[in-house]
Amino acid sequence: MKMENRKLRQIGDVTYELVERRADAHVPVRVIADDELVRAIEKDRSLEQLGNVAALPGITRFALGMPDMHEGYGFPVGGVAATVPPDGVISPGGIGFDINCGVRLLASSLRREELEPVEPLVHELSRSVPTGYGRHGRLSFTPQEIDRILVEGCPYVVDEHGLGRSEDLIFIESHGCLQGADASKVSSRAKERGGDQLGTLGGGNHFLEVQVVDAIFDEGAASVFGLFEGQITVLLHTGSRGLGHQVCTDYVRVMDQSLARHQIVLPDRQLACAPLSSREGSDYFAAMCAAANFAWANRQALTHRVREVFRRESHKSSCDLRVVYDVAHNIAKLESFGKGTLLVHRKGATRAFGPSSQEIPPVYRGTGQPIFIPGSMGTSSFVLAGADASEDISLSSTCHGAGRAMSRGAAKRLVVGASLRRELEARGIVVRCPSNSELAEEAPVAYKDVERVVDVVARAGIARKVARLRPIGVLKG
Amino acid sequence: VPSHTFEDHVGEVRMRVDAPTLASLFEEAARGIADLMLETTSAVDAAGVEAVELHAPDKESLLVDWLNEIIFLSETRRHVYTGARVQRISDTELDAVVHGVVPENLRTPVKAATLHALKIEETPQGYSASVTLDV
Repeated sequence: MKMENRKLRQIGDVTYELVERRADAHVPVRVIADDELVRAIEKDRSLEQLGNVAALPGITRFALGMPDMHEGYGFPVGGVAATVPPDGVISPGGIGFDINCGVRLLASSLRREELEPVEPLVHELSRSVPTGYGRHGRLSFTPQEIDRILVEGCPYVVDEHGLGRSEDLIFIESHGCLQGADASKVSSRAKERGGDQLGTLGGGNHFLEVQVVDAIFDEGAASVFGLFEGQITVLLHTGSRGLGHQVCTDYVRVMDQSLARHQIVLPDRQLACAPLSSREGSDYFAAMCAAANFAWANRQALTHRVREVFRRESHKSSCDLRVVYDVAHNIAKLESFGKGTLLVHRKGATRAFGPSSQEIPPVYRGTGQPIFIPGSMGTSSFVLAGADASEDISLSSTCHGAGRAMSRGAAKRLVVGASLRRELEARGIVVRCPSNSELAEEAPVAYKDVERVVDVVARAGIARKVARLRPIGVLKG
Repeated sequence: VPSHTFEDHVGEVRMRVDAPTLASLFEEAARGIADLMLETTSAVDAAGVEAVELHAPDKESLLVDWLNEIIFLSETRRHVYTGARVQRISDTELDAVVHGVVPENLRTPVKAATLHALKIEETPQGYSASVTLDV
């Protein structure tokens, strides 16, 4: 039964369109969701924000909201927008402060019964992986080495610093290195702020989770991804740390001051942007690529650290952790659509290339790109496979998580952190987070139902469900 | 009396600041950032003083630059700036000093202050602003 409501009109099974567009909107505003998720989305200002995105110069097709969409600043979180280069704009706000925040899944060679008890492993991970605000890592790089990381990304830290193996690089989006990065476009302040944070998790909703594969929905795809029931996996969620935050800060300011010169009028200053072909636009793109490379190198350094801990704690020298894939969910990328190229902004959205894509690892062609959708803390995460249809439906994009439904403050008023900790532990989940208050902020009740979000993207034909991952150990950032 | 409150925002933190003067509005906004950073920890020692000098095209940009400067200093010096004194301010320029403390354990990340829907309004009581912070 089709649902009608004030703001959105249903135009497909799980597709809605904003009824009243801004007068300056260039494209329709679409949301992929079901009735219940639409009701959650309508509660905050995300639709208004997505409506503003539709006014960006050079935007094409539609401004799109994912089922996990919620209110952000400028762009909503869970927003996707493509602009037409060279004169379409690039907007730092459409990527976010945590450039190339993303998720990497590691699949171990261990079965659940081989990792009992799990507590010593999680404890050792918490000792080995720096968490929290502004924490510097144990790795040390010279300024010249930081510049090489910014330009060369993952391949550099693998080849020159021994952080992982060369085959890891095959299984990272863009092989862990965006071409076009220019370290000279990253300010000295950004390098000062984040240059010593490589190999750190950060804070907020970042996490490292030890999981067990507890359901397989697609045997064929799971086999291609190397996943089996009862297998131990590790999911890493982090980004470019203070370096990326400062790159965004620097360029929002630059672009805000260049708006008049480019004759751009915006409904919200945090959407500050510039044509990709302009000096401001191309400088930001080069800096963003550099920050993205730093983020991939960060997840690579963490992978190296996690492997060391697993080998030590499993008491098995043969214990291996294979990179299944690494996906970005805060990024802008130049991608082919038909005969043209578009600049796709994904702010809290994941790329979802299908089986026909030549951009994904050869072994995954015919199956689709692995996509990881983390649940809220203590709930399951999902592995999906991208579908070719996503190109038309969603600019080759899908959701990035469950999506917040409640503010951090409201969660803390509702949830007692100590009780949540006991509840998680009673369910066999080992939790490492120094603060009960921080734990409460990330309580499952503060998030939408990840199963519903995942089911919606499957119904939309963007991606299909492959496996479910149940947490047994959580290290909160 | 200057005041700040944290309003509900699904994804981030929105900070509402009210103050009798523009200078005290900026000082109070800095205290708000310090409160967020010290939410789950406490100060163990006094730290140094930093001078801040900023130029911006308008007072909204100036406020965002001010908060982002404090966030930058906090992350690079690993201090929380609990005291701020604005020595000179106009709509486009600011000279100030900030006093830091060493936190026991700095965990709450404030990535940046944003221009999102930001307007510094003059009210019968002085000035008012709501700043969205990426946390």
